[in-house]
Amino acid sequence: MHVSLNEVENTALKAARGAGSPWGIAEEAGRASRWLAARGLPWLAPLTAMLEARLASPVTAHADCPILAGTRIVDVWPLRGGAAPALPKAIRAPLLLVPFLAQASESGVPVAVSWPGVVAHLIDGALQPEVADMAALAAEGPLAAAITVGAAAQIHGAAVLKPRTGGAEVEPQLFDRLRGLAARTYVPESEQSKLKGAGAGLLDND
Amino acid sequence: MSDALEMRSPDEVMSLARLGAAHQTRLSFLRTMLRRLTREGWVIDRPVFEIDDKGFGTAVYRAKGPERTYSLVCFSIDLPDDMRTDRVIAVAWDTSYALFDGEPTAADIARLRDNVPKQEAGRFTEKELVLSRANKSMRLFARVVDALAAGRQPDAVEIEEVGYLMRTTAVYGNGKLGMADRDVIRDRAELAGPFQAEMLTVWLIRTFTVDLVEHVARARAPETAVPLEPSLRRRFGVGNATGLGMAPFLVRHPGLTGRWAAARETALARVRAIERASEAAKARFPQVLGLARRAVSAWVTSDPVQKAEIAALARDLELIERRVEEGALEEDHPFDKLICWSEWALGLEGQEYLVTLAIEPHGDLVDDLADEMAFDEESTFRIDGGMPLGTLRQHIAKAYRWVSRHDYRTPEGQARFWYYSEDKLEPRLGERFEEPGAELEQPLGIGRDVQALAVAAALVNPEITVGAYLADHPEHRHLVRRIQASAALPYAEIHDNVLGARMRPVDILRWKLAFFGATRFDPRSDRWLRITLFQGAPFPEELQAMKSENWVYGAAA
Repeated sequence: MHVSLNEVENTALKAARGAGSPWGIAEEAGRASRWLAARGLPWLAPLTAMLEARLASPVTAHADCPILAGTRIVDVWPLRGGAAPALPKAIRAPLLLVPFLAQASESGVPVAVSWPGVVAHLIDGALQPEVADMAALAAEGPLAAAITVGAAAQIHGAAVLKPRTGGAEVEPQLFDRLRGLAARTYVPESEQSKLKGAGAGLLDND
Repeated sequence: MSDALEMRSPDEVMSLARLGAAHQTRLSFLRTMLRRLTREGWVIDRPVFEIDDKGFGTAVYRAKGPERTYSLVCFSIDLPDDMRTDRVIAVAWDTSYALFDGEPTAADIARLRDNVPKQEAGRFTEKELVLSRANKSMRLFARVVDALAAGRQPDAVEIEEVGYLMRTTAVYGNGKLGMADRDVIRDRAELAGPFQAEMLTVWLIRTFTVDLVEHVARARAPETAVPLEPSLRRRFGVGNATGLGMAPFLVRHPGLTGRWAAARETALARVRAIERASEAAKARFPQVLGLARRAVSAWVTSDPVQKAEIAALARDLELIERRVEEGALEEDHPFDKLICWSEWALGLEGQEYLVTLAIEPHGDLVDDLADEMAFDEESTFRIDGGMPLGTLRQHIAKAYRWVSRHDYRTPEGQARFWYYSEDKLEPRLGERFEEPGAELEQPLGIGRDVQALAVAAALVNPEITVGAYLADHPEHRHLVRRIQASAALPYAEIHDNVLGARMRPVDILRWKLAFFGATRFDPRSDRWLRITLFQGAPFPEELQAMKSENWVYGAAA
């Protein structure tokens, strides 16, 4: 199924909100999903799994949420003394960290994040992935990931994965699951809201 | 130049009452679109017109510019009367349209025929830029066919009362339903400005509606039928029914709101800075004013509030005319003096119409501002986490003073909540204390929420960073983003309580539609209205002959 990047962003935003994220965090989830989808990366499965897990255990502190971890890193970037930021011991959907680290790398300091099967190098906002195991890109976790910063994050010769316009292809059943989370932000229609909410007339045959 | 200009204050400009009195200006989007087409010599033709004698079938209009071509693909079907509704619950329409990027092949048209008439139930690709649909004004359409078939022109008074043969009920763009994202067109000069693809779509729809009515008349009576007389033909615009769904747009896109308002206010400030009116302006201003007086007297509405406003506006225009006759344009800083005078002498509708009139003769001075009305939201998405919380508090104190004018703790202060309905996925307005669902409200209560943030942040050490604060308070993240972005956008916010019991959504709709270039605002309740777009505007073959733009004010040519 073909979807626009705008649909990716809006559906991810609403789904994150539907799973209990604050609005500003949900906006970040939408923007990160769009960033990944524009590069043809498998954003949908890890995001959906992560949000469904969040919904299933709303009382935990979401210590393993890649969106919260990503915003915390990027908000205080660059770290004093050029230190690599710490990640929680285990993180869900580590691919979702990548857009945040791309933002961080726009400061001119190269950043890399790695988890089993994948190293994502980020230099001046551009992604150079090293993928030993394609399935690992969409890893749902929670798993251990590590960030390196500076010269250690550099790579030579790997191709830059450039963004493109033109939308993305998604697996319909999976996208429906994300839409299901988004639907949690909608208010069911009542007789009163039907009459008052939109406020238009009935038939217009004039 | 703009540094020294005196601008109207955001408190004044962005109040709901003044938003609800907005009028089109020469920076309105349909006018900037037509000016570009004229300037660049766009050629419009109709490569496909497979319409049967009853008016049903397929047509394609092709708009060829210096760099690219766009095609409006039109479908017209035989719609049963009981399915014709302007409400968003409709599932079928008399006509439906897609603006195609380039020239569609037969296979593209076949694909579109399977999807465009279904609208929201269809799926689209990056080749489609805009999707729309329109229903006939049945009575007027039939009367015009009858007249033309009988060899006579339709009644001008009847045409004036309605103003259009069809009205659109939605114009979708920007990646909806799988269509092209704005990223695809953002760097194209002809579509970079706000809603330019949408305006092109509606203008081409207008041509289709009059071609269709003439075609049906000719098919019915080939011997006697006549085409519409050109000046009468131009009195057909495109109608539009706009509901609540559009209102949250302005709150959700403060960057665009801020840019649009800043462009218009900068234009006004430049005009107010003029020391002596040019001879051209001294000729044009009274000419346009005279036309405007006639246009306002022909502005029809059934809404009693708007009716009274129109009557007051008519009197205000007369007062402006008297000032001009007394020599207002001969004085130094004539437009500044007129605006100052209007602030105590005229109502809001009159004051805002004067803004339109003052800007109108000064295209050379202001038209460049049309290029500054787009906004890249990506540019303000990133939060400046290193900013001290004290600096954020200063921003709030400076740009959000208006939030403290409202008491959000009272039932009246937050009587309403905005939400998405499960049924149609459209924004709706609920009564917080009467209806369920308030816990699912959209984050549009900016005043209330900024006040809550200000109270919470006041208790925190001002030296800690925004990033550190947000790590513990992610619930304020969207507001912090908004507040930081608005530092460079003084007109980004509606300076009013959009949750309040007395808030009228039509005020917000009116402002946005005025920036589109709509006229003849006709509120049908406090939450939806009808308007007309392109009434009096040139048709494609008339672009080069009609450069004066006086048509906006009802001039015959």
